Amino acid sequence: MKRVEAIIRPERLGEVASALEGAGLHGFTISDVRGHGRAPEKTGEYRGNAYEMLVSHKLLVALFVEDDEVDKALGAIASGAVTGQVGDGLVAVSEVVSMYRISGAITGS
Amino acid sequence: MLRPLIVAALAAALLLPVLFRRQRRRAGLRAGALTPKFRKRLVITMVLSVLMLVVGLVGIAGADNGDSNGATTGISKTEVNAVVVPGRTQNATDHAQSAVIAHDHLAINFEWLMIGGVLVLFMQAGFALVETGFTRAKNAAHTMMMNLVIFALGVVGWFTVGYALMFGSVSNPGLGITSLASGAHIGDWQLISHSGFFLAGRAYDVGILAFFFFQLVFMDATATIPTGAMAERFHFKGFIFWGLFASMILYPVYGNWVWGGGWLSQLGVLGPKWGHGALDFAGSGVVHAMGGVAAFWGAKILGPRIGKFDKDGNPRAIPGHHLPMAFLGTFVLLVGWMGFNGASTFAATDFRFTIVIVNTILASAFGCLTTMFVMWWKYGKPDPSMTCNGLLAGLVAITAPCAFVAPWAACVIGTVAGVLVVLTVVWMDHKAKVDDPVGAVAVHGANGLWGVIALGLFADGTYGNGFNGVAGNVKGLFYGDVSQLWAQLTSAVTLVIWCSLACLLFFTILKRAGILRSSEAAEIAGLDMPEMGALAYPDFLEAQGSVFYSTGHNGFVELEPSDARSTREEVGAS
Repeated sequence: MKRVEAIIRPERLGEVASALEGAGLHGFTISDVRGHGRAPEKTGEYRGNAYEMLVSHKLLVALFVEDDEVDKALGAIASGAVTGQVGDGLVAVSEVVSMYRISGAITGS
Repeated sequence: MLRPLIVAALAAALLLPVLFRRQRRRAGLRAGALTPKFRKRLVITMVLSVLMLVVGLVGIAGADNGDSNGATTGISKTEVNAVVVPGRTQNATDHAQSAVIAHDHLAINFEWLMIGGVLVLFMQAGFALVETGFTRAKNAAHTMMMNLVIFALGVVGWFTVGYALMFGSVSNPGLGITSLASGAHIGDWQLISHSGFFLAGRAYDVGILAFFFFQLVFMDATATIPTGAMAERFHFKGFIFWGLFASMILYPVYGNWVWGGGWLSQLGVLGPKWGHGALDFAGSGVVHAMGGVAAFWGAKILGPRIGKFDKDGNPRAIPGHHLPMAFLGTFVLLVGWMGFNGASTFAATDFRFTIVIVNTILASAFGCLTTMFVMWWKYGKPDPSMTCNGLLAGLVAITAPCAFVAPWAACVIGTVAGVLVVLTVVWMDHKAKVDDPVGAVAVHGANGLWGVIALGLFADGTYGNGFNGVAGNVKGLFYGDVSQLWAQLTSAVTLVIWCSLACLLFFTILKRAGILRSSEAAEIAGLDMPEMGALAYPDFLEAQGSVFYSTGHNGFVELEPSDARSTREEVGAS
């Protein structure tokens, strides 16, 4: 069992979701996050004084997959989230010790 | 003669409990703790208070009232003769018809005054939205409270003292108002009026109350302007005193000199005989420059918000939390300004009000566009908050000259205002180092003074016959009368001197008393919780003081760990 976490552009959520669905992976969780990566942050001007945003808005998409589904998940997320510009985000895969469905059935590795 | 006694009795009735409380505090008694000695004193104080209240109120009730039911207003001989065709002999029927016409003449004027007054009253909402939109979410409840409560404080101050000082000796045949009593004079020069306190006696009159309401909402505009410049750090206790000071003393004194028949308005008939004396049609000076200059001293003595200037004194941007709110406020002010300027004719029968309204619109549009293009050119983007300020700057500048100038001049006045507002905002940030979150000093101060002076330049001699007792229309410098400009300059200089002295004294006293500025911990946490006890946006974590932007390389607010701790403690304790 693996946990796949991707930090993506908020406006790409629709594409990522349909790519995951298309790959047969049902269900994911998102969180609103803010962060700073390699992309330059936006700068503004207010009443004659400049300011810059410290962080920009991103979405954190998380899903749990079987070990053999990891490549499918990575491919789906990458195809949905990519724009080719700086700031497209990243994906990380981590080991899950165990996972339980709250409705009672237990799956896990 | 009885009136000062009545006022004294009322004031004493209100003050006695305060004195008693001070005595208790000196004796080291906490609230709620009563020794037999103090219980006795409490009873005596309360009885005395009630007695004096009764004396005061009975005195007011028993005084000789004005026309309190409207039965006689508009049918006096002078008022009727004013509408009679000259040179025609009248029989009884003619006279009765003339009386009806005179009554209706006043009726339409009252109605116009009330409509205008309600529009101006709604400008309070505009000020509240602009000021709150331009400041941060963590102070939103505090800023809104100031804008609501200033209205109520202003009403109290205006009712008790303000109106009497400013308009006690004013008369206006178009509203059926006659002077309550002559003011205090030095020689022929009037210094102040002093009749109509508590709207008692002859001030209890339909005409005077119509005028009272219209002037009340103007005074409230002045009182609310500095709360924007002082927002996000003005202690609410100090603010309460400001509301009373502004409505009782600061505004009425200069207002009396220009609008209440005082010495500035007499410059045309006495002494140097300059033009029509100091003129200010709807209050660029009396209302706006007054508020703007007070805002400057308030913000200066208060000091900048934490984080506004970096260690080298360079200004930083502190973006307001809700620009759409500020835009809505700007529109509300624009609409309200139609009443502010338009109804300042005090008469719907004075058709000049249509020109006034168009001039007002023209100046606002030219101010808005000028500021937008100046910001676009200088800083690369058409800055939204400054564009709002530019529109308001045009409105402020046209407020004094709106009735006396041609439409083209209104465009010029608005354009100059649009440049002036940008220059003043930059000057405030970079030279004066005074922190004004909403641009009140630039919009109301600088452009208020510009409006007063612009009248002396552009007045075109088509209007103003008989103003301040001077025959003939008002002409400015460009139409051949330089003396009107001298009157306007005298008025502007007097305004700055009076307002600066009074405000320096007042704000310094508040500072010494320790109620001018909120505590540093409260300011960092946002004033909503420490001072109001309620958040404006409890559902949104980000509205509670966290920031996601920077103005320099070192982050936004440099907080020592101890500051952060004291912030939490204070918030937790209160």
